[in-house]
Amino acid sequence: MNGEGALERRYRRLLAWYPAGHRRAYGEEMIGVLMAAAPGGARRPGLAGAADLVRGGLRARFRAGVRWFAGTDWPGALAVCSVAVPVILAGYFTAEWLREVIAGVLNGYSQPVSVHVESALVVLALAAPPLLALRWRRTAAVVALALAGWYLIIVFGSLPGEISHFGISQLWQWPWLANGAGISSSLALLLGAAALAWSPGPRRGIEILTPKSWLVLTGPGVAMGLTQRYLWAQPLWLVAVIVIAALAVVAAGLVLTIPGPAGRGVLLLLAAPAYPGAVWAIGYSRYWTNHVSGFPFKVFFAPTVLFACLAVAAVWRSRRRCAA
Amino acid sequence: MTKQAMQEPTFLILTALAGGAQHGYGIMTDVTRISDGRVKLRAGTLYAALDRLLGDGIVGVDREEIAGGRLRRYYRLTPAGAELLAAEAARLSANARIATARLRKLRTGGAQAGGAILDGGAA
Repeated sequence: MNGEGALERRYRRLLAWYPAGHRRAYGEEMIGVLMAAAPGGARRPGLAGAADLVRGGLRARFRAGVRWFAGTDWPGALAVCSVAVPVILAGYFTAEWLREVIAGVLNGYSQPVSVHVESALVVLALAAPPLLALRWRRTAAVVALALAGWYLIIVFGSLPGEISHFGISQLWQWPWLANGAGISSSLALLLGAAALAWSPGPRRGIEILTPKSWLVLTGPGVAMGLTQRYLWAQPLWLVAVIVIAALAVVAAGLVLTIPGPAGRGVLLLLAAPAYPGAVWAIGYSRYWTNHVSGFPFKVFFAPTVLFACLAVAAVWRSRRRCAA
Repeated sequence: MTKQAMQEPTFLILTALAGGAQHGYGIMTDVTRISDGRVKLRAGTLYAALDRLLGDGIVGVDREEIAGGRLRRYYRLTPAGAELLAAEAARLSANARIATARLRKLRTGGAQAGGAILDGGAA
């Protein structure tokens, strides 16, 4: 290959730092300018030129992200969440309750009535805020916030007890194992409360959702509630594959079935509560199968915080748009 | 909210386009000429600025042609861009006028004060 060809190939490799859209719009033109500006006989880009392209690529990616964020229908996405979050959680808890009843019938035992009453109350409490919001939005938001607060107190109040119960040496390093589902549910309840307070409301959410998107939203919660005990009996790799595949299917399903720019918003908003739950589901299996070394749980904390921050930014943006 | 001042590379790109439609390499060489060799735009910086300016409607695509088997796109200043450049040039010019006047005063005042000190010292 001659010097010019090698130089062009290296410039093209550097242009990979740019997002695909930017490359489509300016890629060929930039190659022309870079080749015209290159000193005669050069075989590789200069250090400063290469650094400039990397910096430009990263800036273009950041700007593309900002445009994506700004172009998303956040009020619509939050309106969907105001109805989707309670539906997902109620689906999960109802399925878990049902699984216990079925297991009792099959194995010839019955649980005390108080357990069934408690399960029914949980499902009712989850369904109450969106139903109230159809008539009394402000009251519904207050009830949802109170529910989230009460649940947070239970989750974080019970954490030290659960840690000492399971064994300090393992679970102090892995607090998510103690109640990853609780952290996930707490974040979901907070999201639901924010969605009721600062979105066009559940009516708008129901308008946006299609019959297929209802299926995508209810399916995973119900499946998780019915099968999680059996899932954890499987080897870690299988649990990881099933959980990751399920998340990918749900993510694709949400984007494909929710029309318009609200779908991607719903995906990002639900990522904050879904992520710790998924990590916990995988890690819990590892705990039960007694292979408890080296799972880097601390690494998983940063994405949850990042998703939560993005969700807060989205809620803030939606609130501004609704107020405007 | 105060309006942010235009960055120098952006100002120089718009100044280059104020002379007529130019392609990317033309803008780069013109910017070097306008700034007397002080500012040397690189392709990454130029296209980041052009992408932003196109998005804001400050520059537009004038025409495209193929030269030496490569795509060449010509950019021009839009009326909004011309207005923005005029406003920025007026702002810089006003600042420069004030700075020049004050420097002149400082030099004159400094010379008088220096003279007074010398006079006092001699007395």
